Amino acid sequence: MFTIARRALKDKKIFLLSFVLGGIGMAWMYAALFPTIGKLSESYSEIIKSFPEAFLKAFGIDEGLFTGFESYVSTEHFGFVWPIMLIFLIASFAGTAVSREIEKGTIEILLALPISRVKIFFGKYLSGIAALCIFVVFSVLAIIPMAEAYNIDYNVSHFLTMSLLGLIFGWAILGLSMFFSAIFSDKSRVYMATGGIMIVMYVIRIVSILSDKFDKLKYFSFFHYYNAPNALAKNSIAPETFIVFISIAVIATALAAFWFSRRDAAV
Amino acid sequence: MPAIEIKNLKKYFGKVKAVDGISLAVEKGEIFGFLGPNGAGKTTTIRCMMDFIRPTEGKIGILGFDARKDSVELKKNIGYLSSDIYLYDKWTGQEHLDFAASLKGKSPRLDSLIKRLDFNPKAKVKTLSTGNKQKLNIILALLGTPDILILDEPTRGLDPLLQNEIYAILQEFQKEGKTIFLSSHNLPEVERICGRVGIIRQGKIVAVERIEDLKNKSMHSGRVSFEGVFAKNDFLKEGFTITGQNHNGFTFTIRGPINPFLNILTKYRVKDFEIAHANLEDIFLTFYKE
Repeated sequence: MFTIARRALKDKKIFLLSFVLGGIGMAWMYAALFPTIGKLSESYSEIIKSFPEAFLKAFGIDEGLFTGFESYVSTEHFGFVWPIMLIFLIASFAGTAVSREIEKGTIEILLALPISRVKIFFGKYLSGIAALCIFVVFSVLAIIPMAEAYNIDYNVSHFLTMSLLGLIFGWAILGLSMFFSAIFSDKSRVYMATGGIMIVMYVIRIVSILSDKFDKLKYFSFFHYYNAPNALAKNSIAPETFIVFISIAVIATALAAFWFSRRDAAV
Repeated sequence: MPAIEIKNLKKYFGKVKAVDGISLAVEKGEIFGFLGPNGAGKTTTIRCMMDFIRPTEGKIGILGFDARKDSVELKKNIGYLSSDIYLYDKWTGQEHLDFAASLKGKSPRLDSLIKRLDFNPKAKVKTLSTGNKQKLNIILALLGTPDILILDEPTRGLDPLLQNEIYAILQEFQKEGKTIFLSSHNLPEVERICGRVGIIRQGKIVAVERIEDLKNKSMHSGRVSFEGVFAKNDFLKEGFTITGQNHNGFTFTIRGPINPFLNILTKYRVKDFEIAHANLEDIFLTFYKE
């Protein structure tokens, strides 16, 4: 199992490295911009006050956005760009894990070896978990040395909380996309299904914020539970976030492993 | 106990009956040829044997193990070669070999195989020719110490010299008491190295015979030309098949005794006549026509 995990990670090391460097680069950019933006915070706050309330809620912007470093990066970086990077990374790992092997026929190399399907699946799954941890740890915690470099006040514990939120959010996405990878024999379908669900969830969240009538819909969106401003500015993750993300990750993973162990794995 | 025993194997893909109730047994130490045209069900059968796909019905036993339940244990003893070349483009040959060896064990004959097949393991797969990719596939199939080789068209893409080398390697395996199950389109190949052959057509086994018995089947082919007109209908009897015709004669195959055909021929003025034992290909084609 670990042989397969190591090999899968090695095969995607350049891809993973590019995401990690991208994440670090973004962190650097936001840290470098913050001292200037901080000086103009009062002017920005006035501008923000003039925006419609629903718009601010939809994008998680509050008036205190530029007063603290954590609030600023939670909205600018971790509220939109960073989760998109995470979703792309995880969907790519999951897509190549099973469905691409079936699509290309290389699954026969693995299945001809004396290793069970469950171990093949979890070998691939482990590589996704490792990629998730590497990306989250480097891209979130890279902000700390950047903040030091630009003399910005920060709370380490808040960024550790953000890392934890990123890990459970990424784990839930990995579970879902591995489930699609176990079902489909074509990696583009995995990307479409994972991406499609994420877009629908994002739209659901926006709709639930904009309309009181659809408020309850928010519970069907990952982006309701993925509350970066709360994690970074208030150093807190709601208990239901753990329950939802961990439950989805575990259930989807178990279903995926079960499905892969029973399906026809050749086309 | 047979090395391979397939009982009433069925594999349906929706309404398509890819394999429809085949049964056969392969003895230990045998080279068994599995013949059939494209779409006959050869690869589907092999994929079921390897537990890549799951049978709709039926059982497959290999070395006394259940091909599905004991799949992991079995694969320690099976060398497999796929019908198409499935390799990781970005890996080198050596990376493939190291990866497979880490899970299956290194073959004591690996170095000699690489040398015999004149294979360069350092090159990336995407830079290799089809023939070299097939060499890597063959080396991978022979990794570890398999007791059974399941090979789906092993000499595809190889030049005749390398084909001969593969035949020699397979015959050495057989001499060690190991069993080989190979599918092929290539009749001379099967005729040359296999002891027995199973013929599959439209998902069903139409014959399992020793190669010698198949060759000894009373079947002749030939051609005749006449000095005058002839009535084709005179020759349309059971066992006679007219395979081609021109203005003064025809080519034919005869199943069974040739005397009835010669008796009809004596009624005509024959200009030229040629007859010979049918080769395996003709016999094979006869099965498919039925």
